Amino acid sequence: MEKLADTVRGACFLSILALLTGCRGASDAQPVKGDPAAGKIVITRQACGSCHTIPGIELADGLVGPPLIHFASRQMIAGALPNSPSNLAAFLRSPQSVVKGGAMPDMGLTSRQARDAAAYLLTLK
Amino acid sequence: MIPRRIRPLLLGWLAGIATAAIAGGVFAGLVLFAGIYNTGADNQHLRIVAWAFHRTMTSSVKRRTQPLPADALRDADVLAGARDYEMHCIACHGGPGVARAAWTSALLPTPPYLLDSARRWSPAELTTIVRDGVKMTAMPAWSEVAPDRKVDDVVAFLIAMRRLTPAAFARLRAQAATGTAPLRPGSAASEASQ
Repeated sequence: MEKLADTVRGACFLSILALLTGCRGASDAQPVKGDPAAGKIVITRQACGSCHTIPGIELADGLVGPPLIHFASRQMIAGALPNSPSNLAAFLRSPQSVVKGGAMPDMGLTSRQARDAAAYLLTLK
Repeated sequence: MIPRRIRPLLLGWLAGIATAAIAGGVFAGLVLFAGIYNTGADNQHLRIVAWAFHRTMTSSVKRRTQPLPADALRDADVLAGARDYEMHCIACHGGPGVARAAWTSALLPTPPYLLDSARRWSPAELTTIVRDGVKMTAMPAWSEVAPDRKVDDVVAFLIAMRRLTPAAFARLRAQAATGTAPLRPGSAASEASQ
């Protein structure tokens, strides 16, 4: 019920936004977009950089997992999922359900945090 | 005494120093008493500040690290180290396939995962960090509350962790929870690769 309310609210917001922006791209608007700037903070706070090298994140020079450079151009996430904003957010919420027994743990990100982190990684062309 | 041509330059130099001193004093006053520097941990460091603090720590650790005695890690007990890691380290630093406690993301600086700490630091440097801690982070000086032998055990475990698969780490945690037999360096790593 609450989800429905959220969807309705989101739709209202998007239609108002579409009116304000002259209806440009109202059809291809994502339901909820991540915020790359907020994602940068999520990535810093979650210490992603102790295992991954990530452009634009201070001290993110880890070499346990793969470097995340050019992430937006990557075809696959963890070699298992086609790279897309929603797949990436789902993977970040629970890496273990994609690569069970992998070294990357479930960090308990909220869906908002996962979307934001994904949005940042997808700025890395 | 001072050549006439140099005198204006000298005056300018002195005026510059005086200006810098006044500006520095005003800035120090604003930081110390007016509270313009936000010490809240919800406020991320500027990138250059984060870099400078980390660089300072790295240099300090390297400068204060002495070569380890040859037998320090040979006699270390990796399983005891794993047990101590489980008790005192895992909440902040996680492990292979194991997340840190949720609240650690709210620490600033936030504690790193240590899966490749043995790539970043030599055994002697790891010993310095575990033994002496890191000022202005949440890293305690463990030598204040534990004997040096335990520090050696934990460092031996950190070195072994580099090769631990998540499954091997899970087995080692289970073993650490129940087992009492000492595990020498090498045996953990060889077990981990199986």
